[in-house]
Amino acid sequence: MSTESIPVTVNGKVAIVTAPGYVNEKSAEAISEECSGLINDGVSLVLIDMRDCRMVNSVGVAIIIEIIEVLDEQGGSLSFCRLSETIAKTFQIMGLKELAGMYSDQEEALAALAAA
Amino acid sequence: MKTDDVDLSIPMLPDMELTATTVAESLGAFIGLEATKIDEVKMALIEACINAFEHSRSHERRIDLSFKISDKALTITISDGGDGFNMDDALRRIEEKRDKGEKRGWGLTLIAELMDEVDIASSPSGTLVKMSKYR
Repeated sequence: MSTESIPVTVNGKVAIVTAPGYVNEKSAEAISEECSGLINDGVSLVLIDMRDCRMVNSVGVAIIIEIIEVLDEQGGSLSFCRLSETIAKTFQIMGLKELAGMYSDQEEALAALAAA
Repeated sequence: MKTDDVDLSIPMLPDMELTATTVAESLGAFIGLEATKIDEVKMALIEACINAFEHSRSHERRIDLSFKISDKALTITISDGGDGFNMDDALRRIEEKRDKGEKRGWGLTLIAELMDEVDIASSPSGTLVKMSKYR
């Protein structure tokens, strides 16, 4: 079990998870645990705010993709906002742009998720 | 070693790859690399380090890094002192993983996409990844 603390807030139907500065295996597992708890509580729309995140690695991103698949099975979705240019490029290379919504900020993401 | 080169040896311990990214960031800024290019170098360097951590089977459990700067580029060499690997076999395994829907195995692809030039040489005495980002 991960000991890393991941901030989560809820805005309407959407849980907003704030990613840490480095999304590696350990912190991605912590995000995954938070999301599992949210899914068990009936949440199906998750937005990961990447404002504090400067680096990711492929192991951490692979764990995030697994979260996307679980949410998809529940009829939900995972989205990201405030990605750095390099993290957005990394996500594109790994195919996340086809699996998750990408938004410039929380407001844009929440509006899009509310309209969906 | 040129006077402006940097050599670094790090243990294969969790998050030690971040030590290497600190050096890359400083040297990238010193030669005037754009911030986005520095971020790409850091991300590729993380992948090279964790590939070595996970797959090298190094007895020393350390990797040696050499950072070289020039007017044209930042070049980083990562040497793992492990058992080496066959590139064709590795690429086939990556392909098989993708076909099975496995999510891991993106390190080499990310390094190639994020850097401008990459050369990988592997032998039973270890793997050497040389990667450059141009200004």
